[in-house]
Amino acid sequence: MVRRAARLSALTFAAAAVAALAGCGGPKFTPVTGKVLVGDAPAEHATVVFHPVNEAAPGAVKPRGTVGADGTYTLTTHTAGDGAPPGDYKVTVEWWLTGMKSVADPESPPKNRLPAKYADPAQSGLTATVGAGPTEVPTFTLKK
Amino acid sequence: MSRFRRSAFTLIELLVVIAIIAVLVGLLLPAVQKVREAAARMSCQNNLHQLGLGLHNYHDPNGGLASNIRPPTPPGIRVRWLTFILPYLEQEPLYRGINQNLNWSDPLNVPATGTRLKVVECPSAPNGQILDGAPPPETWAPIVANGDYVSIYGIDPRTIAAGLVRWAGQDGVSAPGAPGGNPLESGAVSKTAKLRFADFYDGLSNTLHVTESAGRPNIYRQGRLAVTATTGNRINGGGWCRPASDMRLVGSSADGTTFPGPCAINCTNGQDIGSAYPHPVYGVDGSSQVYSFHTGGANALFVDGSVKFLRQTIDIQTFAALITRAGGELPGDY
Repeated sequence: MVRRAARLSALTFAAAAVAALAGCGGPKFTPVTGKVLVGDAPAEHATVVFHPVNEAAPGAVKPRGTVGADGTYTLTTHTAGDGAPPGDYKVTVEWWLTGMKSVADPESPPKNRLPAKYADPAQSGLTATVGAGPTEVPTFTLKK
Repeated sequence: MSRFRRSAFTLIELLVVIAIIAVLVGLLLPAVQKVREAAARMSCQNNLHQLGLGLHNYHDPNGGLASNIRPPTPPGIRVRWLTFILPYLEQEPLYRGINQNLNWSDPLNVPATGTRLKVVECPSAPNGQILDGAPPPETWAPIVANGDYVSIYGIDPRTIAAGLVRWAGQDGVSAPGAPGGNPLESGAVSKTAKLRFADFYDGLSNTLHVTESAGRPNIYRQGRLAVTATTGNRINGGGWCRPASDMRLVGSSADGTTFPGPCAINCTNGQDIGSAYPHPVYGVDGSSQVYSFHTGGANALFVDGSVKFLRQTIDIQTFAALITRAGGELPGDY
């Protein structure tokens, strides 16, 4: 009888420990990659931001990525390349580049090289779905 | 009697004495290290107080704060605010050694700009080196002396694009006082306007003036040296004489490798600009971020002359509120 009680309490303890550990996980992240082209050229240095459609915690850090020389980006939320939680997203793209061509040019502030609609999640028309496993989002081809 | 007289310690006694001494030294050493770091941090704060006095003393006779506005002629000349306040830091000879009609990298200016300046070296940092050089079209070589302090122009548009910092202009409200509501020109040091104390609508005590970005142009991430500066990989910034040693707030991921991100302090001292110059994103601006070698945060001078220790856990939105001089926001608790 005593033995059974001991086994029962051990089982309860194990179950509680598993439950506690599961609580620490939070949303799971899966690696996400994709490509952004403007016309047929890669939008190098553009900032891609994934806005969750049903935001559980407004103000939470959004998954984002910077487009590389080949047009690809990898999403980061907390540490480099960790990706995004699975779900549906609206996507915005802004492409801030400097106007300075040489050191002797007068100061000029950087400009967004893409139309303003791509910066607004409601108007950009870009959407993506992140699955449970590593996801490659279909290529976004934008018009300048 | 003489049969029982002991002539020496036994081995056990000796070992016990050595063990006790070892325990005492073990208790003492970490305390000594902590005191050394505390002293270095205070010395680092004192440097910021000196810079604050210099900036304030410059303000009244010159009708505004020292700025990074480029001289109109000849083109391509860059002079940093620190150069203008040198006479107010009792560095008159150094000030006279810099010809403001030539760039800081000119061989005639390098004897002055390559001089180490104690008031811009934070003792906690691996400082006291001549590590920074001129960007292309000149050949990059370490010619000028480092400074560990940084002033902030404003907020990078990428950080606002990622929703990390909400900008008043996004809701159709332009930030008062910031020219055109430009987030990049919202801070206490300007490349376009000669700012006076009256322009700080948020209040002098709520606006950040100078803080730390140590270890540049080498790249540090989370306390470790990640990249040693070369022509092809380095932070644009470091030399105390360079306007590019001032920065815009971008923020990074927690590991300090991707930009923009939610970490504002102590994740990395800047972004690698590679070899293309002017950089496609930064242009000729510096790519530094706020970084110190103190545990838990960085020292910061506010425009009113006060110096505070900012915790590295600070929310990036709160940090942005401290940077803007006329954002109209409440910085909240920090």
